[in-house]
Amino acid sequence: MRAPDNGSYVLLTKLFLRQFLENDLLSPDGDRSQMLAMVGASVISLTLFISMFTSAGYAMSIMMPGEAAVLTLSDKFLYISLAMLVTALVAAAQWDALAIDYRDAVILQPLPIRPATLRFAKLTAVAALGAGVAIAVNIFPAIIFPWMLAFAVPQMHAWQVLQLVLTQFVITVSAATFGFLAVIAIREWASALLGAGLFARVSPWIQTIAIVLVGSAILLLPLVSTRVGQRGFTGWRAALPSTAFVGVYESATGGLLADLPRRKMTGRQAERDRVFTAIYAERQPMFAPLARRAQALFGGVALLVILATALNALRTPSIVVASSQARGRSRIAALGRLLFPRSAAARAGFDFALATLWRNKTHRLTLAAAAAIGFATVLVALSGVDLASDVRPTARLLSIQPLLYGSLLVAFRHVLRVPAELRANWGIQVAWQGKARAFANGVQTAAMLSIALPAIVAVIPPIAFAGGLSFAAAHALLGVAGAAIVLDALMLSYDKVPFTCTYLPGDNMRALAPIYGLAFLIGAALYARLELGILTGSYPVAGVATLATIYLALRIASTFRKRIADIDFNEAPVSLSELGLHN
Amino acid sequence: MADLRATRLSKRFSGIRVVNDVNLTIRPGEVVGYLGPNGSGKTTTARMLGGLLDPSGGVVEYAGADIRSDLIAFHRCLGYVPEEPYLYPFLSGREYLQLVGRLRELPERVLTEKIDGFLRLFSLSAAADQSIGSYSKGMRQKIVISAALLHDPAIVIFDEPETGLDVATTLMLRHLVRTLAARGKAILYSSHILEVVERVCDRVIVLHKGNVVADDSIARLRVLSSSTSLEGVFSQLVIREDPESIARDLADLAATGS
Repeated sequence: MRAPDNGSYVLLTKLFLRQFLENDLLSPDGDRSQMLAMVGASVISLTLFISMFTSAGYAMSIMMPGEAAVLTLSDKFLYISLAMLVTALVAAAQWDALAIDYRDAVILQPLPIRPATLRFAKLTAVAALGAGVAIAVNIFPAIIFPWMLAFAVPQMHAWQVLQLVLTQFVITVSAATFGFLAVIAIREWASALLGAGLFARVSPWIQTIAIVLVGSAILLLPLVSTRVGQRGFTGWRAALPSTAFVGVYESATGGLLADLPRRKMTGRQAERDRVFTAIYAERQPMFAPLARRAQALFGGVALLVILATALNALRTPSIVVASSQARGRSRIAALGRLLFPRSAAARAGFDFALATLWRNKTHRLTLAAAAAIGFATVLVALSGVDLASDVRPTARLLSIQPLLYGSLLVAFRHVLRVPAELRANWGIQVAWQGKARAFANGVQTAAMLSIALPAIVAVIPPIAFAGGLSFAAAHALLGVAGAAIVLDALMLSYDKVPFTCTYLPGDNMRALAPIYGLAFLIGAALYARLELGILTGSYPVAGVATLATIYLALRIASTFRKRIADIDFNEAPVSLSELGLHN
Repeated sequence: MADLRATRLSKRFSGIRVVNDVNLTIRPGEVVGYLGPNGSGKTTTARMLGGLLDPSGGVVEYAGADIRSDLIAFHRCLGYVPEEPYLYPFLSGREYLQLVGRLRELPERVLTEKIDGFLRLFSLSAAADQSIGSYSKGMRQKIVISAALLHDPAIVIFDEPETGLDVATTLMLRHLVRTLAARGKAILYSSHILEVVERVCDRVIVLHKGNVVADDSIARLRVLSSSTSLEGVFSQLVIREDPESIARDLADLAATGS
């Protein structure tokens, strides 16, 4: 590669950095500085909150050195995992912008810019994003956590606190870089191995899976990181990359906390210190091998990124012809005709919903995030269940299904309001014949078949394992009924054209979200109890009658609800209308 | 078939008047050319005539009734080809036409026949199942024109329809507009290309800074302005500066420092 020319390099790097801020919800005329300020403020306030929340306990207690050495392992594990996962999530969310895509190539290749300059600029922008996120996420925890710890362990000298600050910063930033590089490695190797055409087709799915996995892991982190020090790094915990980085942390600080001089202690304190010091001494031999594993992991992932990037740099992005998608699309169209033989508007809603839900990036990512939340709540709900010994179907086990489809359908209700492509809505506006109910029916059926049903089917194996196949089949049927009720309830207040009208965010969502969340969890638990009653024969008739009554009531309410006849496709937020800025 | 009539149509954006008291009538079988420089208000007028934008003043009537009193009924008779062919990039060309046709409640068999026909005649059959995101501007424009004509509308508004089209399709489009008019459609044809307007349109409305500065047949406008071509008429009505001198200045500026 020849050295890049500086002027173009700087301009291109700025352009690629700006691409990271662009998303489908931000208007092309939107204020990017405001967006940047909002993202920055959110990251800073969130990391400040987490640091203060997790470290507050240290400021209010006095700890023995041995005790501090063991108990801080959980927080170190939390900070390292969080750094790793948040940067991995950012990388997964920026999936398409991590490499020179077809759009970049088409726009930039005709210009007199060397390909080397283009690649250097993209690499610089991606590195700047990774470094920026890694530093932003870790700066406050690295400062706050050691200083708060100094309150609990007053024997620590200022230079020792500074040593902890520096170590924590370096290790967490390294862990964050590892998470970021791991996602890039997956993307680049998938691209290198699959070739441009196949990669373009499977890339959205790899991205979705990555977001679901990383999102679920973030949500489960508080559960996983509890009492890590006391439980030890055995079993699956030992295999986690975060554990390896904890090894680096402890090797770097060399048992700084455990070796601190002891102050005058009471007998009980001395005993406690002796026990914890023994636990730490037991863990200590593991840290050096863990540190070596972390180095190997980091080096390995960096090497993978370099190799794959070099391999992909030899190729030019090319147009992708989605010929293999045509067969799948025609089958879906046939399904629409079969389901709605008499209503063209319902067919339109069904096909349009299927297309936008799974092909539109914003909608797909929202559903992926909801799936992550669903998985996390399921794992939390099952945290006390031992499937190996407790094979009876319980309400807790049955709650998996409503938790999963419920979180997905709530996300579906949200994406209904997000336009698939706002500038393209004129086409629907001109062709709109006012068949809102039929169109919504098609959309609702698409959600049932493509969102709720897969979640219900996915839950059949564990339920069949616990209660037998016929029990699982009956549970799945009740799940379909439950999903239909949830869908009807969610659609009841919707009176626009799905995926088409302007997005107007709710004014009081911050206040209502926790209430909705709580209602969702309580609802899922109650529904699971009702199902258990029906399936175990405690109150089968009454249970089914209750479900049928709720469903009928919702259908009647939906039928008689007054719909807005004249739909405003381009409704502006109240603030704009009041200021006379909307035309 | 009925007249589309705009009376004292005005539009203000944040207090700035973009279209000012425009009066026009488009009769069945007539192609009305709508001319004007950039920013003169052509697209704004087209959007108001299509019921996609509320006017700040005035009224648009179809068959004697305000289109806003029953916008859906008006849209049943309307085909609209916008200036920018914004479409859903994740749909294929066929899927987009199916969506539009189904929303317009065309019978499935008729719709399938029409879509296949449009795709074939516009040479899009091979790309019919590819995502619109991979289409060129011309291909998207062909899809937009097909969508506008799927339901055999009585009124068609073309807002610079030749953007991105190749020479053969542009020529075909001219014939298509004339054929549609011959079959009784009322057509508004907004364009920058004077040659096309001259060949296609019966009557021309010239817009300048939101005001109608001429509304007559091309032949009469030529006589009135003593010009031999529509370009001459347009220059007299709209162009205040000398284009040749501006062109020279631009070339000089481009050469500066080289």
